[in-house]
Amino acid sequence: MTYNYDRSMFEAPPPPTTLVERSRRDRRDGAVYVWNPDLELAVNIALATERPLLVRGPSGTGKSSLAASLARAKRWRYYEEVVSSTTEARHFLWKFETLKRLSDSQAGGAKTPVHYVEPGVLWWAFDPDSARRRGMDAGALPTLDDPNRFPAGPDARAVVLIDEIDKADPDVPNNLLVPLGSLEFKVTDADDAVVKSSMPPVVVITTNDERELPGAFLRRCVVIKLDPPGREALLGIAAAHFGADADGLYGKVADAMDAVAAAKKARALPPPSTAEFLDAIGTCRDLNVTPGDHPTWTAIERAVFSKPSMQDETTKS
Amino acid sequence: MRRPNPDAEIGLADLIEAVERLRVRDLALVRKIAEVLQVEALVRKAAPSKQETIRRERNPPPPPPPPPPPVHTPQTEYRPSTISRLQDDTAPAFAAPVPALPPPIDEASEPLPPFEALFLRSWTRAILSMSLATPGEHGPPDLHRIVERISRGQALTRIPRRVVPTLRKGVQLLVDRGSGMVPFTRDADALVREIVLVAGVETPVLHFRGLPSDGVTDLQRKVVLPYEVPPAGVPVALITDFGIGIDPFESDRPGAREWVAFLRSVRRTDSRLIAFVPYPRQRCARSIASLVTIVEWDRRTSLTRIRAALRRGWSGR
Repeated sequence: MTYNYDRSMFEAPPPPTTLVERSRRDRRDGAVYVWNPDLELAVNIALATERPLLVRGPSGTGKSSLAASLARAKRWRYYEEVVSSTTEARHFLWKFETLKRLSDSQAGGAKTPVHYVEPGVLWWAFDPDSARRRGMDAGALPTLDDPNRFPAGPDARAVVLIDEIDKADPDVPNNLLVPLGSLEFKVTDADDAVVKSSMPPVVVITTNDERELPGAFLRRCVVIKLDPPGREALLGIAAAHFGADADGLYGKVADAMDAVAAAKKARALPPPSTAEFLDAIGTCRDLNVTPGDHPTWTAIERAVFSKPSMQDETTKS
Repeated sequence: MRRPNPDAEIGLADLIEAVERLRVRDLALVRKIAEVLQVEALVRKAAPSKQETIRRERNPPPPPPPPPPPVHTPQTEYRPSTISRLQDDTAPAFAAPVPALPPPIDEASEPLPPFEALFLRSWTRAILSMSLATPGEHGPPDLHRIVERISRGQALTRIPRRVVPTLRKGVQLLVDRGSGMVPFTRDADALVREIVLVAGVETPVLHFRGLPSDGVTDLQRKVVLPYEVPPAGVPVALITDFGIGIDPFESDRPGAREWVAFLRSVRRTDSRLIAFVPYPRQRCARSIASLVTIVEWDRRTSLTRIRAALRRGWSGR
C-alpha cells in the first residue's frame, strides 16, 4: 500500500545497498532500518502536527531503532533516554547530582548548586547551547559535551527517543505534557534558568503496552502500532541486514520460527520477534549451521526462539 | 511555525494541519491520517467530496453476485413419501426436498476453545505487581533525606532509603474451589501460575471451599491443614467470588457475616488483603468490600483501576 502525499518533510530512506558491518549493526545507530509506508506516513503526520509520535508494539519490532533511523536520514541531532521504574519526568529535563554536592561539601570544596545540574535529553534537544552552559551565562562554568552521537549541522532539529515509557510510574507521561507542549521549562536548580526551544524536536516515545498510558497523554500523541512483519517483509529485513539470501537460509529460519510461533501460540505465549529472527540468522551464519534435524540447530532454536522459561515450568506442573 | 498548545488534545486542527502540510488530496488518505491521529469520528460521517460523488456515479459498484443455488446431497436428502410422490403436481412447498441436518457433534472429542485469560495478557504482570506489592523502605538511598540530615549536623545512624513498592515480603495465596468458582477453574489456575511467576516459586498456594478458616488444602503436599494467618506484613491474596456464584439454596454457603469474621481475623495481624473477584465490585457485600481491596478480575481492569482500588483499600483500613 503506497500513499500519495508530499514527502518533502521526510522521505523514508531505502535499505542500505552495501552491507553494514556486523559491529555497526546496533539497533540504536539507525544504520539499517526497513521502513514501511504506514510508518513513513505516521512520521510525516507527527512532523506536520508537531506532536510526539507514540510507537506501540511488541518487543523486537523495531520501535526503538525508528528514532535513530529518522535522525540519521535527516542528519538531525539524536538523544535517547531509556525509561525505568525509577525514572521521573524531571529526569528528561535535568538531574541534580546531590551526592556529588555532598561529597564536595564534605571535602570543603562545595560549589554553587548550578555546578551539579546535569541537563536531560529534552534540555539538549530544546537548546544545546544552554545545556552546554547548564543554563548559565557563557564563561561562567566549564561547558559540557553534547551527548548527540550523530553528525548534524549547527541548526539541525533534534530527535528524542523516550524508550519504554510504560515502565515508568503512571504519572510520568502526564508530567511530560507541559514541557512537550510548551517547548519550555524552568530549571529550578539553576537559578530558574528558562530553557526554550526555537525548533520543536521530534519526540518518539515507545511502549510495549505492558500497562496502559493515561488517556490525556494518548490524546496528545500521534499513535502508530508496529505489528510483527509478514514473511515477505521478514525476508526483506534479513536481506537488509545480511545481504541477499544466496543459500535459502532466511526462508528456512523463517519456517523454523513459524513452527515455534505456532507452538507458543497454542500455549498463549508471544511468538519470537523480528530481533530474534535476525539473531538466529546471524548465529547460523557465524556458526555455519542450517536449520535442520541436528543438535547444533536444536540448541540455537532453543536458545534464540523457544527460550524455555520459568513460565514453562509452572505451566507443566 | 505553529506552536502546539500544551492543554490541547489532538483534534480537527491537527487533522487540517497534517492534510495541508502533506498536500493530501485523497479522501481515503485523509481517513487514514484521521485514524493515526485517533480522530476518525471527525471524518467517518463526512459527506463524500464532489469529485468522489461524480466518480461513484460514473463507475457504480458492481451488483452483488446472485446467491449460489442450494446444494443437495442425494444420499442424505429428504425423500417425499409415496403418497407425496403420487401427488407430485400438487405437492405443497414444505414437501420439497431439503438438505439433511449435519450429523450431531461429539462434544467430548471437540478441542477446547483457545484459552483467553480474564486479565489482558500484556497487562497481567503489571496488574499483579501493583496489586500484591507492599510499600517499604527498600529503594535506593534517599539522597534528599541524607543531605538534609547531614546539613543539619545530625549523625546518620542508618541509611534512609526511598519507599518503593516491593514484593520481597511474598504473598499468601488462597484459591476458592467452591461451586461458585467452577466456571472460572481454568482462569483461576492461570492466575495462580501468573502470581507465582510474579511473587516467586515459594508462594504458598492454599485451596479452600466455603471459607479458608474451615481448612485449606496444600495440593503440592496433598494435605488438609488448619488455616494459619501469615506473618505480619505479608499480604494475603484471595481468588474468590465471595459466594456470589453459589446456588443460594446451598446449605453450607458461607454468608457475608462469616466472610467478614474471617477477613477481620486476618487483618488483625496487619496483613493486607487483596481479592481477585470475577464479578463487579458492586456485587460484593459492602461489609466485605470495606475490609478487602477488591480487584475486578476482568479485561477492562487497568493499572488506573488498581490504583483506585488500592486507595479505597487503604482508606478503608
